[in-house]
Amino acid sequence: MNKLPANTAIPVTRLLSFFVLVLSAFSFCLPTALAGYSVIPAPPIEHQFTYEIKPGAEKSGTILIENFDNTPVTISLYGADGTQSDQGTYALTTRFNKQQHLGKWITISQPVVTVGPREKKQVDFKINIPKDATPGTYSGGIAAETGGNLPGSKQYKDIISDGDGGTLQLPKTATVPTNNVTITSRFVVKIFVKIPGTVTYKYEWPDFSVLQQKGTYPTFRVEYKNLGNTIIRVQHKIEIKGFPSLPEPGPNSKFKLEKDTLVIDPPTVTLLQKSDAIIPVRWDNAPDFGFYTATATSTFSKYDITTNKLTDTRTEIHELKFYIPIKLGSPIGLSLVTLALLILGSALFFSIRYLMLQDLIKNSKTYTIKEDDTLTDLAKTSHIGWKKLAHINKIKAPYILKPGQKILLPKKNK
Amino acid sequence: MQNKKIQIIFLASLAALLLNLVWMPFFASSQSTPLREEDILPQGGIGSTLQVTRFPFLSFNKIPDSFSFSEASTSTSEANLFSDTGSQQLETPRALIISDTRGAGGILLQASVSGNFTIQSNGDNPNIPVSGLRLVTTDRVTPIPSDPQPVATKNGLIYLAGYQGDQNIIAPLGINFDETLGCNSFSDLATFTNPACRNTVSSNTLNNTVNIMDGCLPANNGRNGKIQTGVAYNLAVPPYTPPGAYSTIMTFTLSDNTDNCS
Repeated sequence: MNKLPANTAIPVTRLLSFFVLVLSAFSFCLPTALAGYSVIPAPPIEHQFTYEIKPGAEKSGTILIENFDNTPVTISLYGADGTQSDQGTYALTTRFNKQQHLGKWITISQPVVTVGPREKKQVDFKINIPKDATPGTYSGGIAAETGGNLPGSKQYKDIISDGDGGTLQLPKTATVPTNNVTITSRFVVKIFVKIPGTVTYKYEWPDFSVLQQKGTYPTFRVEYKNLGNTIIRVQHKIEIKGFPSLPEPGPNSKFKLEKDTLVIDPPTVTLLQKSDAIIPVRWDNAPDFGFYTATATSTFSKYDITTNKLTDTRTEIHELKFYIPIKLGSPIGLSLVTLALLILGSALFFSIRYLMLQDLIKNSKTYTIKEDDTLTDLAKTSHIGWKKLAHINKIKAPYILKPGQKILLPKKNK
Repeated sequence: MQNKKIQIIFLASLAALLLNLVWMPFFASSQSTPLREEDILPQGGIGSTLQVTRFPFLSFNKIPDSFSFSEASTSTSEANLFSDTGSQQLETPRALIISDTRGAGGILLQASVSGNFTIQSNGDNPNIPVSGLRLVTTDRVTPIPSDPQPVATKNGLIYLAGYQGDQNIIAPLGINFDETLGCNSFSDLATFTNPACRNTVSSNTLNNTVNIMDGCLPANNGRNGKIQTGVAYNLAVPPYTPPGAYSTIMTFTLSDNTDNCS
């Protein structure tokens, strides 16, 4: 049996050392893999808070902040009103907006809290509903924000003054030197409050139209208005069919082709009380031209935050007939332009030819064919081609002239 | 001599490991709040496991850096400023990464701005309307060196290594470069103004809140891992804007998405 040379054998101690070294380094890394902080409703509440509170009454809750970092984090907490994003989803106003309802009714026990490295802290809050608050479903939340914009801090003042935390001299030149954008981040824990009373479930669907702008695909515009005091959820879809028939959408397309109908299924829209949403839906890869009918079906439901149920579901349908004008730059547009030019050119050519022929006939005299006359000789005397002469007189092949036959002979060109 | 060095390293490593083993249970037992999820961290080779409890969380791993646009000269016409140069790639300062380890529920990442760009110390208080600030996102962002490489790039977002779960988050303002549409780099105006260059036609001006990531999932489904995107900006400075240094505050907001989940 061959033995390994002594100098290639790896000592056990060396292997063990290496193993322990790697293991210890790895074990140190594990807890530091997390970064930042997170804010959630304190257990057992999950995802968001929902309350039913009478006017003049108060309810409380607790949020949990966890710092994953090795350094302390100072977080500013504030209540904010719910609003809607441009895509029709829930959003929260910033601290710079004037809070109108729920954001104003939330009181945080510790508006600024420092959470130590890898520490968790619970912070209580209260919601006081004013006695004169109108019934309805209100949305809002608690925002937890870090960065330089803690109220009252030097950083906050600096951000407000120059956006970059430093001294800034205003230049006297006729230029705009710097546009500072200070970026912060925040977490939001959503809060929904239902103030009991008469529920008004009223909405409008004032617009379903299509916009066709140069350089982009047709875009459907769907507008909804919640005129009541409850949250309304709208599930909507747009079905398109027409001429020419629609091709199969690509593998990555969000659309589906069902028989001859293209189905666009946008996300559900949440309408907060007394709000409206304009949802643009682009028809990606729309054909270059065609005549189509788009049918929008919207299903409106009243959303009860306390039961998480949709009720009073109603469906409405709007139909829209439209055509996509031919784009000259598209292949089909180019083909049609070429065909049109060909037709126009031909028409022009034949018109000119016809007019010239009429002019020739007008300036002709009647001539009686004599013995030995040939079409070639007669054409020469008129300084025109023999074929043209035959054409004027409707003489067909084999172009035989008979004595006594009368033909039109154009006068000589002067 | 060599053996002595190895012995020192071995002893030091062993001490480090023991210290860490002592420290980790302390870390775990310092949690004063109820426990919800258990992560079992393997301690390979030792023959035992150590349970460290950690809440599932939704967190910012990195937010884009604050920045300044370059100088603009305005007189009779509008000036357009860009946060980035004429390439199709963003650098690390523009990266935004979120972590979701909850394994349940959706995510919603939004951007909003405090208001118009203003000069607070100027008595006249001129401003640049925030409606001129536009934002797009991209999956073309240089990976952060310390982070794992992408496991997937889908719909304008990067799912980083270790990610598990649905890869169906929508990036409404994700940009698709198309020379024929005039959007070929982060310093082309069409990249920010032509809706055909984006994943959806949704507005990308910051006078309202805009969605950056919209990943809705029912409560019994979830994700586990990191998701990355890059953010680029354009600002239209109106004609006759008085000279000065204007500023605003942009906030990225992360929340649990319960809005549209069925």
